Amino acid sequence: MAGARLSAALVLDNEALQALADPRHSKHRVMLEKIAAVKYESGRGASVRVVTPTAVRVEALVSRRTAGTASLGRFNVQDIALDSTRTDRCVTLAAAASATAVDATVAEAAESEARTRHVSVYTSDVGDLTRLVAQVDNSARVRVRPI
Amino acid sequence: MGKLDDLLEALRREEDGTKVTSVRRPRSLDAALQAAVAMGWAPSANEGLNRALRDDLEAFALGAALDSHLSENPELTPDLAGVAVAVAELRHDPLAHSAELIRSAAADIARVKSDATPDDVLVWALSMQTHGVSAKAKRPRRPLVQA
Repeated sequence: MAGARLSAALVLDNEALQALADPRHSKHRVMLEKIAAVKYESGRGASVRVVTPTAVRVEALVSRRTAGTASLGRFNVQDIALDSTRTDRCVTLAAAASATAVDATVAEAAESEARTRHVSVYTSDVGDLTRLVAQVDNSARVRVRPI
Repeated sequence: MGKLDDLLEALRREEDGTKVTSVRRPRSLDAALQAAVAMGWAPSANEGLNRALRDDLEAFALGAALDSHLSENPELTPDLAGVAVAVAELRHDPLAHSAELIRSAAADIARVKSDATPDDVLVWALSMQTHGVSAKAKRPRRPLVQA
C-alpha cells in the first residue's frame, strides 16, 4: 500500500531567496537542486509549496519587478504577507527568543506551514533560526537547513 | 515563454469569481470521485477537483519553469546527488544528515544506471548505511607508493 501523500513546504530566508532569484549567485545551483527536488516530488503526487515572508524580500532586496530576478516568479515562490494576527505572533516569537523582526517572520511562516506540511527552512543563519523555531507550535515538523 | 507566463499569472491572480464549466468525465472516474468524497478526500467533489487541479497545474508550471531556466543555462543543471539530498531534506528523511553517503551512493548508481532517480540513490544510500558502509570507506584507494 502506498504511503500517505507528502505535503511539504520550503521556507526561504534571506540568502536562500537571493540565491534562487539571482542566476549569478554562487549558491544558485544549490537552490535549483531544491527546486528540482520539488519538481520530482510533485511528479510523484506530492503537494509542495515554496514560500518566503515579504519581510525577507525587503531585507534581501528581492523585488519581482527587478530585472535579473524573474526566475523568482517563474518558480512560483509565494509571498507570506503579515496581517494583524500574524504580526502579533511574530511579536511574541521575537520577544521570546530575542530575535530580529525578519527572523521572527521566517519562524512564523514555518509555524503556519507546519500545521499541514513538513517544513524545511533554508537559511545561512542556522543557529539563530534553530533557536527560534524551537519556540513555534509543531516545531517537530520543521527542519532548519543550511544554504 | 509567453504561455508559461500566462499560466503563472493566472495561477497567482486573486480569486475573481467562478466559472461554470461542463467537464465530460468517465462514469467510472465519477463513481471513484463520489466514493473518495464520501471517505473524506475533500469536503465536496468541486472543492477536491479544484484543489487537485491547482496542485497539478502549479507542479506543471514549476517543472516547465525549471526546464526553461536550465535550457537557457545548461551549466546550472543540478546533479543527481544534489537532487537526492534535497529530496531527503524535503521528506525529512534521516538520510538528509548523511549528504556524503548520498553523494557516494549517487556515484555508485550513476555507474550502472544512466536514468537513476533520487529514489534509486536514497535506497542505495540506506542499504549502504544499513550494512555499515561509510562514504569514506568507499573512496577509491590510492595506489601504494613504492618504497
